[in-house]
Amino acid sequence: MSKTGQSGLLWVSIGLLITLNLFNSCQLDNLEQRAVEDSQRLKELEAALQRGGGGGGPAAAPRQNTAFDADPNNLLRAPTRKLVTAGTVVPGQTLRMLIGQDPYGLNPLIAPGADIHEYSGYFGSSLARRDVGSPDHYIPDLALKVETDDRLTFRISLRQDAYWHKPMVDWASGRYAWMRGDGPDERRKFTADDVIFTLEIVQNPQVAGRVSSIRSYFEKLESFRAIDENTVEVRFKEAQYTNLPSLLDLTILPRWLYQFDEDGKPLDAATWGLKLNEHWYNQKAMGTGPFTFVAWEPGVRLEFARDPYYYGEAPGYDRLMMSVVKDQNAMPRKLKAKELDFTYIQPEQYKTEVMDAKDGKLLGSEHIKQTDFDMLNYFYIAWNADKPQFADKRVRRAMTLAFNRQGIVDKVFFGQGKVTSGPFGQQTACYDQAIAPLPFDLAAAKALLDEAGWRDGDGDGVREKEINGETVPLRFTMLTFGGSSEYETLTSIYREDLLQIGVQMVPVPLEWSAMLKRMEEREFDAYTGAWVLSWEIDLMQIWHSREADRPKSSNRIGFRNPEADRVAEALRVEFDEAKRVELCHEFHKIVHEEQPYTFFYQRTRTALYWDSMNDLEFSPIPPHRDVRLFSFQQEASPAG
Amino acid sequence: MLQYTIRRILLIIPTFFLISMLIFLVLNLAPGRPGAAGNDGGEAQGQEQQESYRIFKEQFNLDKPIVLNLRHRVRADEVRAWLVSARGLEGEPSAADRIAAQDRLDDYGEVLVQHLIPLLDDPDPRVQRAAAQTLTGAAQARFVNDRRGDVVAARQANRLISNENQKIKAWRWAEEAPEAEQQAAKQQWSAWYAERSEQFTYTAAEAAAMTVLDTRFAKYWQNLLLLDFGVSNVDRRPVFDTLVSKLRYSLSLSTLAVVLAYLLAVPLGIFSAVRQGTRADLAVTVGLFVLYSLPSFFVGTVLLRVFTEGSPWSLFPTGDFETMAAGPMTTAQHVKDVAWHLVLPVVTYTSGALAALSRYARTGVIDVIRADYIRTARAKGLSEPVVIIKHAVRNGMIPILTLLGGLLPTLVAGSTVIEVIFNIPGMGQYLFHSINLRDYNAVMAVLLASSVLSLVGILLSDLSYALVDPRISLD
Repeated sequence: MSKTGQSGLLWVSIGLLITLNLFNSCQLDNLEQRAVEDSQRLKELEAALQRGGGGGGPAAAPRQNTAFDADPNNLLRAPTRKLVTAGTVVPGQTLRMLIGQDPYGLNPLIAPGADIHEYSGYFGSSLARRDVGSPDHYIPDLALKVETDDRLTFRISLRQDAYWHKPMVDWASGRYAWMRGDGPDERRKFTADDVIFTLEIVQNPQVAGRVSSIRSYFEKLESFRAIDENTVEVRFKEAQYTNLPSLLDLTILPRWLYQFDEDGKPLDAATWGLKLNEHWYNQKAMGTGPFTFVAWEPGVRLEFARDPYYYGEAPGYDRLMMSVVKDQNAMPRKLKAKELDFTYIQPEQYKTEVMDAKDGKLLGSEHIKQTDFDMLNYFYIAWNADKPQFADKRVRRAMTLAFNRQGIVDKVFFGQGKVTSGPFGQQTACYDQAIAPLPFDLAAAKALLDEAGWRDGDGDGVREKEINGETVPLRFTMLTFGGSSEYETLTSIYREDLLQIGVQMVPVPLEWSAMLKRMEEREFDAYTGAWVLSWEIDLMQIWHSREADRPKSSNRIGFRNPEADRVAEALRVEFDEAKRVELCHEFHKIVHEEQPYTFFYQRTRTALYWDSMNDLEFSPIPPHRDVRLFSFQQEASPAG
Repeated sequence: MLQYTIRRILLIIPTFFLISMLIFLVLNLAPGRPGAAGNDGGEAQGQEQQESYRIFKEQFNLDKPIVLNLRHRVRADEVRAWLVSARGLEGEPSAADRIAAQDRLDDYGEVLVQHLIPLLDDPDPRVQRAAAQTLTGAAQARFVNDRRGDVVAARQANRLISNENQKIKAWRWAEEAPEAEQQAAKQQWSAWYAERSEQFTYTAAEAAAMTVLDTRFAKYWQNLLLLDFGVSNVDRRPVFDTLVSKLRYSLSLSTLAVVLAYLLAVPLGIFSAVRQGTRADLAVTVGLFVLYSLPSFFVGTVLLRVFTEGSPWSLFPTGDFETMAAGPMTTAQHVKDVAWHLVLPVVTYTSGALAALSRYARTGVIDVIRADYIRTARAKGLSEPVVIIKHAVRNGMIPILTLLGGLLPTLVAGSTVIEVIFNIPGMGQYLFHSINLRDYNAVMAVLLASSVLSLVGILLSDLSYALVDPRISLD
């Protein structure tokens, strides 16, 4: 055959092969399409079955000891409100939201970081939860009743209708058959032993991560035991206010899962704590909460589904999809592109998207709504009381007077906050509304500095004072969060204002870990900081003088005040809510007088959402976002 | 050729070792520590938490010195001084000194034992108490690794170690404890030490071995030789598994981008070379340089702004690798979905790489276009396109093909900036966040993987020269 003939044949065969292949692919695709549709239909059927309560659904669960016990000795109260107030439960609906980073694992007691605290409330349960309508009180969760005679020994009666979620494993492989339980849907029952196991984790120093920061609240834990399958007794050495909240807030973990390896063999008794840190199920979530774990793809998504067997109030939708988006700038963009149902926005975005919105249309759509809520935190500037400049409270007051707090909140944070005067959340009773923040008043600041003996004798524009025979100029460095343009602006405003009253401030922007090191080593004159508060107030950690001399303590500024010590100690053992509020107010007055910090502001957060959702509500309890409160309007989907 | 290849491969080994040492040093000397990223011990408080942080450090070898361990040379008076300083017993040591002293007491561990035992009889009772307390940590034996080798025996050993450690922990006393209790604890210690004194004193050989082998770097390499990249100290997953799971994202993005870059750059380069010096050449050159000078984070953001937000267009998704909430899809749908998501990142990626590549192509062609054989081909009467494509381009493309070898590491390591902007959970994004979190094992693994690939890439491109161009011989 000739050369051209050969190559002609070659090309024809190649062409034929390609055509055949294309044809095959099309056919395969059609087949696949049908398979996908079938599996989809099957899933819908299953879901419908479960909703109907047929076939061993929730209705089949045993019904003894599952209701709230209105005994007056019960420390738990009945809830004051329902979570989904709109009352609409939309089957098949997905809530789509963003998370700024991956969690560092999904074991609520192991994974470090604050995020897991929020998620564990979705898939997990604790003994009791704070009532969203009245956060000072606890309502039943896994515990139905908590009794005590002396606030040292607590008897906890547990509910009997709670079952652990079905583990997300490859059941077909047969490897995980050991995980099957005898409850509905082959689930394992929650028992008192799980509570005991959780407390054992708290006490085992080999277990690292989040639990190590909780541990200090259990210092006074003496003993614990299961009286029977549904009752636990926990005993503390000393009666402290924080004992009970710490115990009730603990997310309970199952022993049958976390003390066993992947093949169902028990972990070694000597090293189970270490093994738990790297437990094979730590990348998945196990709990008894309203949502069951579906998938976690690091960097991509974290997905939960409504648990049809959950014993409590059902959430208003079926799926919870959290996509991981690390770039904050992308938040409004993704909402606008209808890839999300709601999102938080940053102060800067608040300016461009809300304040400058054209004709009141947020993100250019009349279907996007806005809601604001107060966070339970405060920002501050800390003054190192061990430095000669700041030993005198008049100087610290002058520093506060020279700090244009309202102006900065308005101009730099675009009004996304409230100027604050004390270490409590303004939405709580502890905050004394009668104590107004000091005004911005440079003249008064000058007068105070004069009075304290700081004068500019050499005419270089900076005041100085003779302390112990040495001339100390009123000059200091301030550590600030690096990489934040807001902090850059506010420090330069503050620096200018301080210069006007003869004080020289040098800002030192630092990365967080470097900043933390300097703060721990007390190598600072001043720093900008923030505290995230928890609902129960305990002042010992930050304000007590016994912490002032301990390295790495949270009282980094060396605050020593006998009155404040007395109040902090009294608060720790005071159980009467009204008296606690009185003590808080007393404390508020002391720190307002002393100005150990310049209390700066409490942050307001703004969320934007599509109006296919019912009005968005945020919990007063940190971390505020509680997806159990969210719900959708019937028959409306933002994607449609 | 074979000899050359072998020589080069042998050279890679010490190079790799030095690279790993360099990365390791920079990483470990950078300010900040793993614990500070919201991890264990960030604000370690109380005995229990300190204990927990000590175990964490031991697990990740963070208590060891980085490359040289001279701790066996510690003197008794130094140890006493640290005790005094850490507890603030004399004078008023600064917080920084106290923290440093306490860290040393925690980190030195077993080498302190021989010096702490005599301090139990120190004239100052506070030093005695501090010594006993430090001993309860320092004298604890470490668990053996029960993941490799004889698991049953290792577990058995760990159980014994655990019992022993539990026993030791109790041998300390509270402030103002009765004399009898103090005496009892001291006797326990001296009896315990009498049995084991040999274990805690070091011969010259032991000390020498300790100097080099009992360090973070040596421990890291011991694991590395067994292909164990360690566990992330953030999410406690084996780093290697995470890397593998990130691979598909980075590979898809960068392969597509590189292919596209070549497809565009080569014709553009040839075009400019053929039209060298004309206005068209100038226009292409200027255009490419404009693209080249726009940083990718800028291009990416502009593309997102223009094409995703609906003002003016909303043609593409705002990032991510694939649709998140989508139900099950067929393969074809999935491919389409991913392709849809990758359009903008690939364009961003390519826009930066285009200029350099097409310059190489242009220079390559210009170099050969003046060669004698091109003139000969033209003289033979071949048409201009045939001359360019068959003779000039084939030879002119040699440098640009060999550049491919150098791209190997980029293919895998991805692009940090683009992955962060477009929220693609690949290698680059992982590296970025691991650095922020001081996740040493993760950062090491990513950087080592890309340096191995760089070394291999360079070797491959050198070898490919010889393969493609008969004029070059490596022997």
